[in-house]
Amino acid sequence: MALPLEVVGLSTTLFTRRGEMKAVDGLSLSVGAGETVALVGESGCGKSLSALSIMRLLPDPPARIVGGEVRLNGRDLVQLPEEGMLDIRGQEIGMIFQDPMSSLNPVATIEKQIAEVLMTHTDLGRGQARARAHELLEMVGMPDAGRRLDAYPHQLSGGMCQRVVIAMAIACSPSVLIADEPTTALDVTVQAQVLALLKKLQADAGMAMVFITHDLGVVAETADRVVVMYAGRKVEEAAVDDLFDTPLHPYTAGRLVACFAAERG
Amino acid sequence: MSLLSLRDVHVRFNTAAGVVRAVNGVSLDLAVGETLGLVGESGCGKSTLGKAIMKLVPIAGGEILVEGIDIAPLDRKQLTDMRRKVQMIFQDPYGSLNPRSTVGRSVAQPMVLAGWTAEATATRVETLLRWVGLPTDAKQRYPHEFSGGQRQRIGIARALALSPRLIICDEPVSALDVSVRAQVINLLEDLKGEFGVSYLFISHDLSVVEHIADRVAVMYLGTLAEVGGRDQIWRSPQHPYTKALLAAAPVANPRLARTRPRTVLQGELPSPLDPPAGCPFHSRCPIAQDRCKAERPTLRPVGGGALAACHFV
Amino acid sequence: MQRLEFIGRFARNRGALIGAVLILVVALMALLAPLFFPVDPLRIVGQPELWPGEDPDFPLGTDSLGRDMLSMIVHGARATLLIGLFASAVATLIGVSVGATAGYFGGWIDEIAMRAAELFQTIPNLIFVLTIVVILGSTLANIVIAIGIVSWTPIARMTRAEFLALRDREFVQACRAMGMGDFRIIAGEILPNALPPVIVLSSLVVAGAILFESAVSFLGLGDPNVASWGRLVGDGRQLIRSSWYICAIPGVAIMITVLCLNLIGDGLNDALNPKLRDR
Repeated sequence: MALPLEVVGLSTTLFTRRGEMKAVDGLSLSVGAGETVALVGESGCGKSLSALSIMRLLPDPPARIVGGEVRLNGRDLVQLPEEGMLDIRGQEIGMIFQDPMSSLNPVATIEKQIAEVLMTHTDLGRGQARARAHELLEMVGMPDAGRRLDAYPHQLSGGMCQRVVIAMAIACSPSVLIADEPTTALDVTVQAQVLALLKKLQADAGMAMVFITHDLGVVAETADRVVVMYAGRKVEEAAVDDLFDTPLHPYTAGRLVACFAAERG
Repeated sequence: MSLLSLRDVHVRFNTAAGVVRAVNGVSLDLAVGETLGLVGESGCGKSTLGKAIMKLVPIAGGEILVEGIDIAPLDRKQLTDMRRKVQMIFQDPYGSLNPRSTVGRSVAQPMVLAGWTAEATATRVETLLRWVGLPTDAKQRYPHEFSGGQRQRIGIARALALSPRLIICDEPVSALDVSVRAQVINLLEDLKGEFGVSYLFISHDLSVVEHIADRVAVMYLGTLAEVGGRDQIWRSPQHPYTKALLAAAPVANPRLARTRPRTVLQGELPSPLDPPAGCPFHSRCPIAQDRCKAERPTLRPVGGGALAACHFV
Repeated sequence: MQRLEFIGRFARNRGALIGAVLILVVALMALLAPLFFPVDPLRIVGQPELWPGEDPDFPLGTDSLGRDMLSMIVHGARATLLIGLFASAVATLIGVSVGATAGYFGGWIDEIAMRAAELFQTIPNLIFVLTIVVILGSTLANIVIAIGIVSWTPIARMTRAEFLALRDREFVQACRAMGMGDFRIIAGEILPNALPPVIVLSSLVVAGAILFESAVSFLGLGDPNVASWGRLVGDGRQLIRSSWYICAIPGVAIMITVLCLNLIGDGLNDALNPKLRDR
């Protein structure tokens, strides 16, 4: 059976006035059901653009996929027309962004935003959607879920907003979840809450997860396998234990040293 | 005598929604040559406390003693002496330098304000830039020509200008890339060794504080939860919030991460507009009892030289 | 280096470049007027109402009294540009002072300043200028000040908004932490960062001031000793059926100048706020 997500030789180029830049250069990775693959690298290494390429959410212009395949359960998304992608996004792939505040619509209630996802992809009516939204909020551990349905994003804390974003991402039980720095904007105790939540949801639904982060601590906590990116290329791929024991690429080693230096003193 | 002594410091902000008690009765001492880490999550009041010491926010109550002199009631002109002794490094290396001033002008400002001659100022600027590891031709350039780490070095040079005794570092590396972070931290440590300056190091990043601090103060909702030596706090945290905070920090070791016991703190941070009565932490505390809802605990010795504000440790 | 970049970005805007060149021509004309036309432009030098081209001595013709139109236009450029520049300077001075104080200090100072600005905005500008000129007398200085007084409010608002955004930035806090005084922070630190959009606005106020002065002069309330373009239009209005060129020539001059100033404002906006454009 085909893997939930298989990326083969994905290349994305930025076409700017100053010239072309290979932002993602022949990236290949695969994620099995229930598996978490961490995509690691410094800011500007192309990890976020990789995620956007997989989702076909690139700002075009300047960015365009120039080659490779993104196979979702065996189907190549790169060749799919845009209308086809509308059904894929939100239904078969969920995405969580870094800044929960700005990924929610500030003038719509929480219920409306979750219900909209549901009503786009399913035949649920208004009332059913509301009930399902309530369920989802409870699933993501939203305190006082019933009352939060009618709240607006600014009335919630950053951690609660991220829970709402997660609820929207898993609303249609996608087989693949892409999380782009989902905890970077959060405090440590809230980060721990959100990481625990993601792990639990993933284990319950057997989702394949691509977890983008620059924090090796978070990698150690969440990932099964790690893909290290540098300047648009994959420079290393390893099981998480192996990577931390014996990093192969000098860049990975350097990052780990810097990380341990900061940690151990 | 302590270099810096805080006695029951309060800071309040009047907002449209009500009075925010950003700092709610903090008492703290910082000895000469010490690096005191001030940790806590966003909204706990740690940055406000740092700004209160610099008199950048109005102080609603309490004493702030710098080498024994209470600076809380002083006005701008009377603070000149204190400004020489205490300086600040800011979080945002992009925002803390005037984009339309050359680096030389920014670094020279403290000397100009202190009435130095032009030659003395110019010499000093060059010395400072050398100390923080920047080329002297940096003087004529503008902040946007430098990287984040270099800009933070410029901010450090400016803070060092009048040889302060204490530098308040408000999240000085949070906005920097990990690899640059270590360089800036090392620079701060080198400067400490060389000039005997003390730091109040404000950060939400526990790994950085663990690295640099001699002692650590943990803040929660405008109050201090625990104060103690770094090793003491990391090895045997006493206050339940300190425990939760340390447990929440991810460790860069996958095997340890899988096996270590983990208590994820439940619930949300209460609003500082309406802090809970009694112990500020009782609404999320795993060991809270009725007494915690009524009576606010004060800092008291809990062994190992540490102080904690909890009835049950 | 920075200056070159600035000029480059300005010049990339074709309209602004044309505007700047034309304004430069007008300004040169104004500066060198006494050289070309040493005689007082208000002196009667020929037959009245000569059409342009009718007499090679007067390429733009003569007006109802027989004064040289070309000489009057060239000399009028002087008065018109000076009025525009000075009125804009007055407006900018008032606007920046009020806006900076309001934005920096906030609270009740801001409240009072903004209510005052609203008060000025509710008064019909032309009537206000006319009233001041009638009460204080039609001298050039009074007209300039009157125009300045009605034109400062947008500048004050713009400055205030910039100050509000900048006053809590960390570099301002760093200055406070050094013990820098308020005036020094306002003038030396925040103002240079707040100025770019204000300069754009000021260049537009120059254009507005020229139009204002023309209106005042057209209504016959201008300074009688100064032959500004507006006054030329006003002088010609009785003959608009027979000799319409007397109105039209200074009118076109005003139009071109104001248009050029607006183009320059546009170019300055591109050059000073490159972020808005480079997207």
